[in-house]
Amino acid sequence: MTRSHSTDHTRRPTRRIVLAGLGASLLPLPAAAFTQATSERFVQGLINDVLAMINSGRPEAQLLAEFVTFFARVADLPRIAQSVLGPPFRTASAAQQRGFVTAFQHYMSHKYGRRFREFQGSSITIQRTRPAGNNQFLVESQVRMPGQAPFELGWHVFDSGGGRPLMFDLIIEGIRLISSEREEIRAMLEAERGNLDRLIARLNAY
Amino acid sequence: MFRAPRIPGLMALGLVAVLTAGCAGGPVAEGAINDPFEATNRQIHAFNKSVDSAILRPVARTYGAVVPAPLREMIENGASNLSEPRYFVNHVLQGDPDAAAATLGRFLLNSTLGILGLGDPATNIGLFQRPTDFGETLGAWGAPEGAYVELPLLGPSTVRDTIGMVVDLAIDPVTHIVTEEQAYYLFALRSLNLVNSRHAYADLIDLLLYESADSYTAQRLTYLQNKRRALAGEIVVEDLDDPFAFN
Repeated sequence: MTRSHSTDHTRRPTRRIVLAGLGASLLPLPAAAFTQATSERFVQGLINDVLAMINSGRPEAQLLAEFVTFFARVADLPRIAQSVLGPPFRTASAAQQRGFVTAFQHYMSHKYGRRFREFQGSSITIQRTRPAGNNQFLVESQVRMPGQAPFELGWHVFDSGGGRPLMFDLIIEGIRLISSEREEIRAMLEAERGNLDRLIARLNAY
Repeated sequence: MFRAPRIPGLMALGLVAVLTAGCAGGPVAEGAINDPFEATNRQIHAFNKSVDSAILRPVARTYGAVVPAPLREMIENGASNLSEPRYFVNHVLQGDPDAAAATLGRFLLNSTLGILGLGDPATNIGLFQRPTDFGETLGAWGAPEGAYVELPLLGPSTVRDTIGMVVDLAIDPVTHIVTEEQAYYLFALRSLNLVNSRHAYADLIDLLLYESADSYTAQRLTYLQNKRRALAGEIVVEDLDDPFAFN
């Protein structure tokens, strides 16, 4: 429901997407299945894109902007935002829901985009992929930085419809991003005495 | 004064049995957070944070500014190498011969080619450190995690990991072979390495302790999820959040 309300400009149809859509509608292609291989290819693509961004040597401000766009394209932000906020999301007005999703995107990109640089020069290798419930896969990768013990990075991906994978959660050495942010957002909302509008303002100011 | 009490192994195990039995409450759901002492834990957390901001953080900053990077690396390697015998014992007790062999290999290689463990050639050839502790051994033996506790100065733990920490002191081969005088150097090296770690992970620790909306719950979740993954040996798929929960 929130997806259709999304104000995110990266989802606006470009000419290329419209043409591709037109092509798809003309050809009687079967709906692609969501498989282990699809998920793994998707994550490998993410890894390549992320490493290319980090190692591009571009200035941090530019990287951050790129990261915001990238994040919105590969992850289901409205879904993540909803999962993070939990029950208060359901009782919020449509405008508040939209406001929260946008504010959450800003907050996440700035919080984690800044840490990106630390992974310069590292390599990320997919180790294995396991089913993680209905239409979901967990792709496990190993991050190696020169001279250090590797750490485990898990990518929890799911079928967003028609076999198109999107990212839902990231798991670093067992620590799940969504559940960490759920606690964080809950604590912020508590500090704002349950006022969702003030939480949104606080996230936008991050 | 700083030496670990030499509790005979069997006595230590007896202690574990008694303490675990004493702490066994009702069953706690998998993946849930069991924190009946939250009020006390929060007080200790506030105390630990004040110690960090008043002493450990400033000391670590000065340390980072004064001690050159190669020396810092040697301190870390040296302290870390002396942890390997303890890891080895625990891997054996957990029935994990692969990890035990890798740990032994690392210790032998780093203690010789690495010059008393000051270098870490093992990591360079892909023989990575496999840290573990007696808390994990207890878990592997089926002991329940127990309540979450935050310990004064020592930080986040669980009942199981606290017992494990005590037992680790007792069964650590290193504390059994060092002389009275060497024990002081060992204590000094480990203290220095604590400062070293506070400096090396400053960004992450500061983020967790000083930028979280609630540093107590942030640290609790980080600790428990990381430990549970270590015990399971892999990410527990059943614990993952459901993307379709709100459909």
